[in-house]
Amino acid sequence: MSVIDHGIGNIGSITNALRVCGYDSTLIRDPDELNDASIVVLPGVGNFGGVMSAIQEAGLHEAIRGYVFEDRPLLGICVGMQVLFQGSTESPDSNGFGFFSGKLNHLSSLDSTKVTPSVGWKELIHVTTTDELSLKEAYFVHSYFAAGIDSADLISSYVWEGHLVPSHVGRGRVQGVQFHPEKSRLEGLRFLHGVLQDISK
Amino acid sequence: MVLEESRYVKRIVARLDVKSNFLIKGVRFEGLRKIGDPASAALKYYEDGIDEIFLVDNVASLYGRNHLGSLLEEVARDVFVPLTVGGGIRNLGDAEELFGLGADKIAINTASFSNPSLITEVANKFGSQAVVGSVQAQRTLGGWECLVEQGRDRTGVSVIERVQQLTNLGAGELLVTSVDNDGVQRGFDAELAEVVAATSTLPVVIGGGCGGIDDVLEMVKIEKLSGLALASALHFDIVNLGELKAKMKQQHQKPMIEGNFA
Repeated sequence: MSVIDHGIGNIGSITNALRVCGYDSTLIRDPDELNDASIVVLPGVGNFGGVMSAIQEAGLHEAIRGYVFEDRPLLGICVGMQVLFQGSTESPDSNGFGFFSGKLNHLSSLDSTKVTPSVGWKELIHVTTTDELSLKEAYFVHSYFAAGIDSADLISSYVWEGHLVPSHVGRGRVQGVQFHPEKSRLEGLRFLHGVLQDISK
Repeated sequence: MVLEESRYVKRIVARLDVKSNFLIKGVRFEGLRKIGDPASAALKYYEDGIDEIFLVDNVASLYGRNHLGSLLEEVARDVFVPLTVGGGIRNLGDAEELFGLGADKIAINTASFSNPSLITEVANKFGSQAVVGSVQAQRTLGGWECLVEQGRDRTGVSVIERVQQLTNLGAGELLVTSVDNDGVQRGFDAELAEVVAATSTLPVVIGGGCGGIDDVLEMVKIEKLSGLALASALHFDIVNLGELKAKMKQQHQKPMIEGNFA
């Protein structure tokens, strides 16, 4: 198990969760280290542009693109999921990886009268359901959501102030979750394990 | 399709005040008593279904640094819900260290009065969602005043003014603790909760005073409130988390059932 360490993530939380899932993690800080990776987790918190710049500064941008286009498994978490899309209104000057079509918009574009960020435990509504990929509720904390996504990529959503917001997307061996499975109790860890199994099939 | 949402289900946050590796608790931020081991308390609350855990170094501000590193590391190994750490975070380096050890958020109060840009610096690097603006609110004749140094010093700044400041500085969430009600177990300061939640564009967690499940159920009615922080009520086994969660769910579903039969 490899975890991309670009310096802006809750790396400790992720590696603790992976340990409980039965995986020893190697931290990836250098593009060459991706060569031997079997499954990659891309964490990230904070700002879309900040995470993209950190990935670029570490020289990991091309390496991650190459890795994904070789059809190797990758899971993005939170902002690590967001950067898999084309871009974000949070950082108009930064391009995302564009593995998924769609862009991140601020939640206030759905309803500017509501409190943001969206924080807390939310029930997931699954579009595709397999036991491995299902999770009842998960911990979210985010202000931007994936808009204009290809409906074929949608695995689950949740309801924010009356609007459906994507919570889990996937295509082939690349998946992303807006929530934090590593902070969603034992059920979250079970889900994390299931997803990692699923993408490495 | 009707989009139902669990908006009346508030987050329940366990607040653990720590001094020299002991879980402690006082009344109105004073008369602190040692009551147990913080790591085992955190694990117990996690197993009982807590939504988040807030670890506070109670004397850190006074001595200028946070000492919760090893406790945080220990808790983060076994507890898989969001962990917030507060007390004595003076600069970006302190915050970076705590994030590295497993903190998901850091809470800032005292240092932000002498160094207002601290919240902005941490938010710029780790995101607003990682910075909790902590407010210790004490009643005045006309409202509430912010205190610092764990309730030891006054600031002359009103809580409402502070909510705006913290929002502008880039905090992603507010934790407002009533100093008057803290440890008294006679209920939350509902007026404080209502006023802050109505004013704030950020999620608000209110703490101080929980004396039982009914106190929580009363607060759940404040729609804009995001969560409730419990300390004594958990440490002294006054609130059972399983029972609380069941009752919150029941209360949330009640209007729907009545609606069906109307």
